[in-house]
Amino acid sequence: MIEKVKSFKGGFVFANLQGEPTASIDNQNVPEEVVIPLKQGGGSEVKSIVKSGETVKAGQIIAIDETSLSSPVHATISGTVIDCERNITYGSKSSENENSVASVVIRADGQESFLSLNDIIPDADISSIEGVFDAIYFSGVSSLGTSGIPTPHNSSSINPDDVKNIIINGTTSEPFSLPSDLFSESSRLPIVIGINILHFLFPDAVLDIAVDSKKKEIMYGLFNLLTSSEDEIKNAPYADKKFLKTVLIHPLKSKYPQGDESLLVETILGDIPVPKGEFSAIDYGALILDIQDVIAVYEAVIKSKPLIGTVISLGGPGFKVNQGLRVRIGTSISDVLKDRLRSDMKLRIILNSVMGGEVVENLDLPVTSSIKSIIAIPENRDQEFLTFLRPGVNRGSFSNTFLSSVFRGFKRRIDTNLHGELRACIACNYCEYVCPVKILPFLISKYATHDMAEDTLRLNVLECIECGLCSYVCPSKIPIVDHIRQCKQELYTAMDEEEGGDEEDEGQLT
Amino acid sequence: MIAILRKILTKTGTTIEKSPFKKLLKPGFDAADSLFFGRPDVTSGFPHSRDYIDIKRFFITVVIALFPCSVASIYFFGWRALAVIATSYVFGLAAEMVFAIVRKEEVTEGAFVTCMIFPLILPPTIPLWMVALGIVFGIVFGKEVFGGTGKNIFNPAMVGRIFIAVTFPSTMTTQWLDPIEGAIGGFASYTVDAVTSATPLIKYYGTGEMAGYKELFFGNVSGSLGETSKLLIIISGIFLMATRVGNWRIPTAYLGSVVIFSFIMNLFSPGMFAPPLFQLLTGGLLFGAIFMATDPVSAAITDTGKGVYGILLGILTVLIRELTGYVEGVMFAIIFMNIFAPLIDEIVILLRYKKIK
Repeated sequence: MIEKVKSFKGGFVFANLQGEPTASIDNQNVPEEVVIPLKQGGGSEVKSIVKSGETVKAGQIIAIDETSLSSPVHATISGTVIDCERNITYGSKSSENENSVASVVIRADGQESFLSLNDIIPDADISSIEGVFDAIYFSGVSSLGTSGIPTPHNSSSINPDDVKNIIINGTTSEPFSLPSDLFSESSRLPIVIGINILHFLFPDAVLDIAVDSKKKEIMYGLFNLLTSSEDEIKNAPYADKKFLKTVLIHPLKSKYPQGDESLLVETILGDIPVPKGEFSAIDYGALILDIQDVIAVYEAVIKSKPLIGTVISLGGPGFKVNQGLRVRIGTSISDVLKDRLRSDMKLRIILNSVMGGEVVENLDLPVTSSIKSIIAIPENRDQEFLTFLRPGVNRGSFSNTFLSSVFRGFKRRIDTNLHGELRACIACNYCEYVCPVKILPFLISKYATHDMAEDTLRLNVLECIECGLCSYVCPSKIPIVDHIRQCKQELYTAMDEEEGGDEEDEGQLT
Repeated sequence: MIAILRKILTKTGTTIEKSPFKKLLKPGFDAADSLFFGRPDVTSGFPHSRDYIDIKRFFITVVIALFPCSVASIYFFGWRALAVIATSYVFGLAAEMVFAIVRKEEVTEGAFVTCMIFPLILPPTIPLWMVALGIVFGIVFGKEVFGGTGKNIFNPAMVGRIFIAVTFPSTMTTQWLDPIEGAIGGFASYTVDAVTSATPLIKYYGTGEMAGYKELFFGNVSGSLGETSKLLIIISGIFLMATRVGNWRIPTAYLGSVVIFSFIMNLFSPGMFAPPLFQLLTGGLLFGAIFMATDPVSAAITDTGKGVYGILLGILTVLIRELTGYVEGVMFAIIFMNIFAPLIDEIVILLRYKKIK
């Protein structure tokens, strides 16, 4: 069934940008060397079971630990292990989220083939629930999604029985994410079978699909497919005809940050009981997957393909060609960027999101399944003459003071320039208009700059999901979201002290 | 041309850095540099990209919106209007610059709007020295003493106007000019000779005589420099709201509450309260509602609070106009409501987040 178009109050549409990826996928050659971090998705680090000098086949499990919350890690190319204890460091040294992960380095022997799942678990019976769960776990697919797909093998923080809702997120609100048309034509059958498998695994869970409300053909294509009476669909593996008709398709406006867990759950399922900033969909029983994850489920179960590759989007004006790219996990980012970047401008390379992503400082870092896009935007330090008077047909803005809001055909530029100077807040309310969680960002920022963080609790500061839109739209260029983060941190520290540290969870949230 | 300017600025920049005495002029230099070329700053941390709008563009949009009104002031009252505007800019920006140098801070852009609004709410006969005095008082005591743009409690242009209205009441209330008519209007003359003693609003409260609605709407009436042509003000207002620079809640709530309140009061006491349409089209109501009440800094800062602020402004304006000796109620209503804006915000926040604590 197709539901009514839904959305949330606030948000901002990043549309028509220069350097948006097109709906085509290129294949990256098998790299000569891969660095595979022994940590997949949101799980914990796993100890490797291979030794230096050992020969491995692509698809072979190189690290597994059923006792800790994790999924198995696979060799993604065939070759020789040359180092199984190399530490790689994510995050920049300046930011607090720096962490290092042990990883296995494999040198390729040139073979492109990979082991199928049948070689890894020969006695798997994919007609039983246990067998399918095994396939998902041992293929590494269970590490996908924001917090892993629950299996009996401790791959997610909840049990498979606790999954109440499955949300398949087909919206593309994040700037420079892969367009969802990509998954419309050739991969319709895999999507339907993937959905069937998910229903087979979680028979009690309600399944919702979120799509862009503007992409009508995808929406109706999906609807026709789910209600189709074609033999191919009817007799597809794991088909449950009755179930497919109960799947709800939700057209959502592609406003940033619709992809955020809490907003997705709230728009589709209704109010959530905790402050949005503390919300974790999986603890609420909601499993959120994107369409690529559903296809991976299909490939693991039906095609016996272990998770050795991923599709990333190459977005931003810094790339010569903007498209999707299928790469083996562990390929270094420099290999991906090689010959693909434009050399005539200085670029900033960002992972996953222009709004909240990390800057890549070390290009030797490997691609993992949690990297959805690599974005290259110009590091623009140019001083333009009378920049505030320019008509601006290619400048996107929340305000309508640029001609781009009249002439919508022109592609909008995105770069790293501040486009102005730091000034005092003039209460223009732009941040209030765009805030997706209905707080007053400018007021919280004022409290924060006056060391009154404890007073912001009554302003609902814990609702903040740190989408960064308030900083984005601010004409005074105030780093509002940094101020809000600082307030939240101070509040959590104060709460911890009050409770005498007996609640460990609270501490982790900060 | 641009390259030469760039060169001059870079050179001045380096000489300024060298001498400790010249360093005092740095705010002025920085202002010129960033005015012409912007800053080369890039984002650090997230988000990595920022919206293209900045405070300069925000305020310059208001100045652009005021442009039709200033041209109309020349059309109706001669080129002297331009002299008034120029005086306001010269002295206003000078006051702003002095404060920037003393405080060693950057020059803020709010003065561009203040210096444009201030002359447009003065009578055409105003002596130029009075303009200078008013704008300097407005900028210094309306804004700078509070810490500059963004920290002021009162609308600086209003503070300046109230200062000279209270200090020189006869100049501000009795010396008006009849507008020039015809195709070229005041573009051919420096000033107007025909002195009249009253604006339509003053006339109404004096003798009960009402000016024609058509004249009031197009602006061929006596009044302050920029506030006579309601048509142009409405066009500018729509422009401001469409660009999202001007808040739409304040003017709509303000004008709406004036119409409703004066309609009700007019029913009960027609002799005392003027009818709604006359209220709307006379005096500085439209100009005040669109350009002055919407000043985001001194108005209520929450979006809901802005609506309440507008409604209260409307009621207060009608009451001041009808019940006090000051026929122009907009000026005092806005200053008065500026004081109550934080209270409105506090109540809005209390009601909105009641559930939490």
